[in-house]
Amino acid sequence: MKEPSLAARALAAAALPVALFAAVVAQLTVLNRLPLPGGDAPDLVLLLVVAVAVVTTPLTGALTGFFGGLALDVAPPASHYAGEYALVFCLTGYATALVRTALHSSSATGDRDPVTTWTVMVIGVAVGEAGKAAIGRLLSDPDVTNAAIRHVLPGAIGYDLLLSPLVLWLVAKVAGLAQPRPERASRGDLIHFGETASAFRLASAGATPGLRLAGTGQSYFSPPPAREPRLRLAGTGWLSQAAPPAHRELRLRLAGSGGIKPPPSRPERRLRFDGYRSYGPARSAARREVRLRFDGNGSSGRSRSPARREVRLRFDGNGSSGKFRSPARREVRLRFDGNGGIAKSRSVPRRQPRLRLSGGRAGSSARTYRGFAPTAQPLLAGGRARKLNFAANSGPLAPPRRVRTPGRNWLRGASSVPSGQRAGRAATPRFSGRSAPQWAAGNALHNGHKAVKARPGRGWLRPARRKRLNWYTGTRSTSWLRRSRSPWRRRRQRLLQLVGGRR
Amino acid sequence: MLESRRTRLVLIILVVLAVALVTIDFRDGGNSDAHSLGGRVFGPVEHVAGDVTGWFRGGGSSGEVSALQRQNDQLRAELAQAQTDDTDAAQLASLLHLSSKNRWKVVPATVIAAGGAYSDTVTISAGSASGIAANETVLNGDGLVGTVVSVTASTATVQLATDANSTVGVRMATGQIGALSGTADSFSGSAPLRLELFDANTVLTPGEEVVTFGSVGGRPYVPGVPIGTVATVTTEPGSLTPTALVQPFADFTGLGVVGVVVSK
Repeated sequence: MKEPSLAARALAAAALPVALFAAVVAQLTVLNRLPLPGGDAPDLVLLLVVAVAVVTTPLTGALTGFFGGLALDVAPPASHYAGEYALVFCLTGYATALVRTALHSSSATGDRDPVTTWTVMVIGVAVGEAGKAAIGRLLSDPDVTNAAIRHVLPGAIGYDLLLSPLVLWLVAKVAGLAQPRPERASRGDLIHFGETASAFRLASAGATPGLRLAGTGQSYFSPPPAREPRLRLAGTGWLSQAAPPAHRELRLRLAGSGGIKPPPSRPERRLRFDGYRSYGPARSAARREVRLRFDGNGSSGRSRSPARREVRLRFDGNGSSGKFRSPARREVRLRFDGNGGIAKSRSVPRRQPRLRLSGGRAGSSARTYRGFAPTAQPLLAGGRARKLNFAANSGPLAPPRRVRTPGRNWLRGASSVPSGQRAGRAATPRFSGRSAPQWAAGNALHNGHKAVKARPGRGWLRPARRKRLNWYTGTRSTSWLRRSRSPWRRRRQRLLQLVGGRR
Repeated sequence: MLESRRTRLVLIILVVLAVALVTIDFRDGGNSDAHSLGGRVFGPVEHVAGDVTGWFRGGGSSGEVSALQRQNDQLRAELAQAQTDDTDAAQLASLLHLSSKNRWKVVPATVIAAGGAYSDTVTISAGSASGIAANETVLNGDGLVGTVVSVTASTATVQLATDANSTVGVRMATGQIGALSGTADSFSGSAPLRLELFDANTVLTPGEEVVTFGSVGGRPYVPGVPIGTVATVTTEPGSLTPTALVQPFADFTGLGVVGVVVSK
């Protein structure tokens, strides 16, 4: 976030009252006297109020509307009762801002669509004009007759419509001075990440509830500083690497099980992943070369980047060790044991990747999974928790228990954004269901042909005699519906969870 | 959530405040202190802005044209008074307690602001500092414009004769008296004034001239100011009073320099 300078903020703060005052004076001395065809005139004050409302918050909209209307009420040639327009404009400003906020927060990316903003503004202006007429009728103003309304209203709305883009543009320009400018990813990147995330979720059929791709969700508005690799391994042993949007591009290839093909715009990185005993080189042309090797039994995975970074991963199902090293900045070593895993993490002061590993008898502070699925949760820098469920070697994996996924409401990712940045925009990742891959999760990695259809809760290793928990929230479920084993109930619940509804 | 609650609280306060303002103003008949306060705040600014726009219009308060217009206003007022004196001076004098000639003075002013779409009110660039008070006749070179409804130090608000709140006592050339009121749709029709005579037997004919009848002390209307001519007779068969639509002399949509008749 780039904070605006003090001068810019002061300018924007002072601009509103000044603009309101100027609009009232210009309305009375210029616009009302213009010999426009039809005898009508645009209502500049109403336009300004509604424009401010759609650009800012409901509070600002209501305040602006009240004072703008009050000024029109008491400025000399006014013949109606004081407070009429204040009431109408106040309500109009509040309602318009509310509608705009609701529309944009419910949109996919939380992006402020100018066309939507303008549409809301036009509707608000029309409502305001109608409200002026309505309150005149309500107070039996002799000037406001039905004939007068029929004549004035269409013309006034028409002139307002003509003037509204200009006013909106000006207001947005001035208001933009005071708002922090998010160095945000471009829209295309976000859509792409969202698609990838949704593809993962769909494909894994719920096996990877904690999967989130970088760039979506919580880090929407403030993507991390440039060089921060994120490694996330979903519960079925897939590696997904997504990078800060501007610089890195993701390419995933999942051997043996189809794959995701992201847009071919940036062919920088490739990850190839084989389930067992395969050797997947992942290479990026310019800077980075990551190699991963994954073996089921005692194999070693190497990953190397020539210029800057060298990442080594060694992964063994039983007593293997994973190394994760970057020469310049970062050095992480992983040792991975199926039974009694040890987690080691070492880092230079700037970034602190933490890795938590846990096997069946993990003695560290890591949370444990029941079963022999090791879990690694690297917490990369910046306090952003990333989850890494690593169960490549173990096949079936119990759902995480008592693990609260870091962004447990990843759909409502804005909740992790500081409230100052989030005024009016909720950063929800785009969740589009297209391009769902055809592969199945879980044991599909063993051999792509004999893919076992991964169905959460069925055929999975589950802890005995313990109540199952909600995968998403990690809370104890008490409802029979949640604990039901019917897949359709589960899908329904998952759908409800996705759309944010509460059961 | 907290923010939303605060917003709602502020909204409720503002709405209550607005309703209270309307109520107070309604009780005071639209002349509460809020209007005078607004006049004090916005009056000077509108004065300056009106000068600027008047300069663009070319009809500002300086220049030969405006001087001639002022002179025209003055002459018009004097002529109206002379005609009144000539026709039935004695009758009017007894009725209106007119005392002598040249009792009136015309203060020139320019229109600097206009009301919204629904109201026919304008603000002129002279106020109580120039001797203008409320309920004084406003005219221009063509005829009657309206009456002053409120005054600040430097501005005055004029209610035009076309306003729906305005009712002017009028007299026909035949001597019949009646009332002329605005129709609130001055923008649509070409004859925005509605005439209603009090004598049921009078027959109105288009083209007849209508002048002000006058009020006691010349407030709010001085007698003899021409208003307009009868455009269309709208008397219904069987109605008690003859009615007609009157086309005013003054162009209410293009008012520039006006004169306010002030008592000496």
